[in-house]
Amino acid sequence: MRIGILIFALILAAALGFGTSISIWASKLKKSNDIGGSAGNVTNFSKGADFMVSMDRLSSKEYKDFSQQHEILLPPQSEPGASEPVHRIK
Amino acid sequence: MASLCKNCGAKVVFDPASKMLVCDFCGSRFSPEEVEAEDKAHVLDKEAVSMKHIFGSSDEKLLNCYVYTCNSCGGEIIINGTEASTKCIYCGNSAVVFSRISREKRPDVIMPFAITKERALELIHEKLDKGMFIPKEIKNFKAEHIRGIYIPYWIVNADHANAVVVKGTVRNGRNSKTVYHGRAGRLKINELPLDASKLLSDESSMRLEPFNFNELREFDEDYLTGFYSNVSDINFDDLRQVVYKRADEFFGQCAMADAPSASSKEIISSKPHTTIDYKSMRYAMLPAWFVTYTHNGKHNTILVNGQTGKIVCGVPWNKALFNTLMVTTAIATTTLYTFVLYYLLPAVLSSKNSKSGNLIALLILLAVSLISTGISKLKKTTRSIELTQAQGIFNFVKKRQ
Repeated sequence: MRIGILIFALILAAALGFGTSISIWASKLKKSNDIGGSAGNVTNFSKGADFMVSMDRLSSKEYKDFSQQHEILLPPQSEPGASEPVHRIK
Repeated sequence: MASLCKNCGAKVVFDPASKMLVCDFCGSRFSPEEVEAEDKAHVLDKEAVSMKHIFGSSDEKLLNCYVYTCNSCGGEIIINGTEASTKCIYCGNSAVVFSRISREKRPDVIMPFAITKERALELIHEKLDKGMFIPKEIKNFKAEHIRGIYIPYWIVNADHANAVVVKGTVRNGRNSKTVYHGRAGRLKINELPLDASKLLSDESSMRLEPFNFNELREFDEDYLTGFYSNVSDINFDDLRQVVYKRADEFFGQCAMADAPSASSKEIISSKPHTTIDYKSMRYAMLPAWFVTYTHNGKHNTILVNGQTGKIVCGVPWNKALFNTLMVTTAIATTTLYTFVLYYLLPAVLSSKNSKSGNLIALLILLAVSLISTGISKLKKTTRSIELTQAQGIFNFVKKRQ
């Protein structure tokens, strides 16, 4: 019984020990060697989303239909040709 | 063609430190708006001669190259078809090739370099010196190429609408429950910069963000003197794909932040629509320094935002140091945890309380979570190094003589 517990403790401890170690050193490595790895986020380019519908704790039926039911269409506009080089539309 | 000094007729180049055009010969300084290159208008419509015409080559890879004559020494400068300015490879004269900036493609605005080459190198060394896992030879690297390049960007306004379902987990004591939150709304995107050069990957250029657009100035060719630049070569399909992707990501960030206290949030359903305001788009030249060095036979390119000085790169790490620390910590913590668990487990296992099962499950979950967090961070660092060592970005710099 004691041996069994020791083996189980060793396996669990090894997983936790390896996890602790990789998590600490991978974080340190990222901080040290991944320099300026972030791109601009929503706060750089927007004042944030304006939510017109906000529903919490949806039932399974509600969440399956939510995107379809509350789809917001934007006014259609003429789109320049896909292969056309980008330029400002006058 | 370089602009000439009004006082002595020698060439002038843009100095990021003073934000003025400086004459190499007499030291006179002028604001770019002051200098009127008399023949700017004349060269705007000048037709470039293709490599096919010069060499009779039908190789498609060469068709987009052009030959220009250096104003100073008369040498021929062969440049990539998408470049707008370059330096003479023979005499180093800053030659601005106006003919590639046609009226149609002339940028609206430009962000002049605010960081000098010396300052860019200083910033890189300061950053590398702080890196715990950066090998000494990289800390003391010798740059092979240092190029100040104006990257073409489109600055875009867009409107995004979406209806998303956010899935999350809510914990209540020992129990956890999956919950679903719905958010539908609109997001206005203002001044999103999109890299307009196919040669440079979007992933690399996005990392140079943010830029402060308050410092944008009306485009003037004289800002290009002494630097390299590319012109926009993307089509509307390329532009739309990036705008749609980023708008969707931004809306997702807002929806997840707004969903009440839940963990492990993810978007499982969405109905996105994005419109781009094509009339308000601005064509801009944004500055960046590209610094290349070789390590273990691989080319590495460090990017520096020419306005803010933000450094962007993934640096190869000292594997021996990393592995030693990893193994030592793993052995130490494993020993510690083994002792704790060896004395804790008998009591937990003999207890008939359901808490004991939960505790073991929690420890297993913790181990899995720690390992996956570590692996994810390692992957991000590796990806960053891959971008720094990408051949595409190296070619982007190397093509400049």
